[in-house]
Amino acid sequence: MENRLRVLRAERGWSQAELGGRIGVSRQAVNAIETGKHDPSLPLAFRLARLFDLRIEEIFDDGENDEQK
Amino acid sequence: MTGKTMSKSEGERLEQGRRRKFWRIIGFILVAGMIVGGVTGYVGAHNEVPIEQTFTAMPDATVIALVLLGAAAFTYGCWAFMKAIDEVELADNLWGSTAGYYAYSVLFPSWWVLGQAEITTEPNHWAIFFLSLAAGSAVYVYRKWRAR
Repeated sequence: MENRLRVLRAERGWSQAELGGRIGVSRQAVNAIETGKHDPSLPLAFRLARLFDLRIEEIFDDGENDEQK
Repeated sequence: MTGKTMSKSEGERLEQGRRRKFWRIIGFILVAGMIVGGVTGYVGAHNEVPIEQTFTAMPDATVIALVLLGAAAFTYGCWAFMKAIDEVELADNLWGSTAGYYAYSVLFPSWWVLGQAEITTEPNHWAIFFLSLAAGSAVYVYRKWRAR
């Protein structure tokens, strides 16, 4: 699943460890999510959405919207 | 304080604390293992018996105490570890455990059938235990490596 996490994090000048601390996961977990190697659980996706003041689908893209177009 | 209202670097401090807790638990399990291993080794050396006779040379109460200490420390360590980890670490553990379980499920019956047919010796439980552990660890380490 693609996501905008790296961009959103960079916009705020946060390191992966900084973001990890804010959402209660490790730096490695942030890296795994950013690189698409781990799809976050729904509770974690909500935590990210609240942190960035965005909707979940504004951060994560499962490609379904492109197929419908 | 929520993640949104935290001051800059507050997140890094929290992540560092979380990481310290993680390694403290790993350290606790290792120290408990070292105590059990150290006492076993000391008693074995003191009684001058081969390693496979170490436990028969010990009083029953000492063996029971060592087993209880090891089992309690490992159980507590695993419980604390599972409570402290995040969902990515949990997924890595689940994948590793599944691989280890599958390896055991293939190794033991296969070796047992070969043993029954007298093609090989009877299954060696230690070999199967360590091979299953190795299979689980390989999957776990691979997942950790790819997500670095």
